Amino acid sequence: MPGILARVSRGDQEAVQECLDCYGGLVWALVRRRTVSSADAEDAAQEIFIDIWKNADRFDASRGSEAAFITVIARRRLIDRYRRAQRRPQTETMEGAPEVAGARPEQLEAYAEARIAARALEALKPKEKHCILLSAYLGLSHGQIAETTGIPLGTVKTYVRRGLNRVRDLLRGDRKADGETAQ
Amino acid sequence: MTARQDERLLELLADEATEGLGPAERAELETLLAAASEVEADAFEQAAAAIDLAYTEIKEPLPAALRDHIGAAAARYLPAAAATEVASFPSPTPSRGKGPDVFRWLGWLAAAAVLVAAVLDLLPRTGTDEAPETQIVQVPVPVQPPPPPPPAESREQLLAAGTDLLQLPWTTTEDAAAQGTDGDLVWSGEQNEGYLRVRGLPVNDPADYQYQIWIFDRTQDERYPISGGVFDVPAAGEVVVPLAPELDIVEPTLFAVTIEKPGGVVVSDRERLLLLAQV
Repeated sequence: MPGILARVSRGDQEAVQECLDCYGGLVWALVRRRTVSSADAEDAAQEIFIDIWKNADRFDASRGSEAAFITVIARRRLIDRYRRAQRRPQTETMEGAPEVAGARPEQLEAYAEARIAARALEALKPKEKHCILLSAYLGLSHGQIAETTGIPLGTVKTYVRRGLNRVRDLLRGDRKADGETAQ
Repeated sequence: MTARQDERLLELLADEATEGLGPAERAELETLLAAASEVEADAFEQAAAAIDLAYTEIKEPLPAALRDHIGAAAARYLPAAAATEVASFPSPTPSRGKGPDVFRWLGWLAAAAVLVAAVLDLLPRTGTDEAPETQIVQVPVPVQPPPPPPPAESREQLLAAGTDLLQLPWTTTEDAAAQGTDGDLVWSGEQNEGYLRVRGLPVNDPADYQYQIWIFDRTQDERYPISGGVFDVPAAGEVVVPLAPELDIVEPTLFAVTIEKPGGVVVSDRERLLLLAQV
């Protein structure tokens, strides 16, 4: 049976509702962590789903799950909004600090990419793991990470890249293994 | 492509995946990608997304009004359906809602200020108590050093020989799990080494929850204290746990213990704050 995004790309309105059921919570969690107000969060969520509708036909199940695909889209939009907001005078105040999360068994069981990423991070040195989480999960810029941790900016960038490299390599290995299994 | 260009390409891809690129960097990336057709342009974005996915807790669905609005507007961006498909795609059950309170790091310090006043009323361990059963707890840490001696022994060695020592009694919060506990936190700034000792914490099932140590450092943003690692209480009695800070501690101001999910968390919501030791 075609997945949700494949059916969305064909204009299936029931698939649209299923997409909101299945992934609305994920998008909302991603958005709430990186926005300063409820209004901002709602705007961001709308923009992200528009991006999802427009790009649903590009989803390739051989490259990962729908949840991972949607997370990439959401992150792109949120990073873009953040960069645009930095160029405007700050008129809103933070409503709260970043939300809490930890590696939850439910999340890890639901998404293979999550398991792989968590495994990759556990093999990193503490400072590397700390930096990559501040960057990829909390969304701090490399400059902000350097400022809050006291680690030089160049080292922060190296740690972040190292963390992403490791996850990328494991994801690639996992996809390759899946492909070989399927043959 | 030269090795330097390869390096620059990876740097730009990592920047794109985590903090975005300005116009000049974007143009530079496009140029480098055009010359490196074998590179998966979005591989770092996928990696960052996987990390985000692993740590994101889904607490609630989209607000209903927002969901309806997004659903109603979707048709504008999609082709007219060629056929209507009835799908029975199983929807994952949203995670149980348990929204934490809004996190206010200043509250940590306010709570500590109140509890410091209570320290004077907290009786320290006395020599007349029966010798407690000491539990040796192995704290899971990401980087494994060579096998150390038992933590209780290492703690004693540090007390005997360490300099620049802090030995701070725990103060308890009102959390039920903290009632009846006592102990102390020993920290050597010179050796960047420390031990938590506590008696009376409830025995925990690590699959249900774990205890996590936090270290506030004057040189760090107080919103992001340093994790000192997670630990378990496998049986009633005393536990001695070595601290495993993720970063070097320069000038500690406060130590804390919370209850967290298995494996610990990146940022605590302090819903279950148990113990504090203020410098």
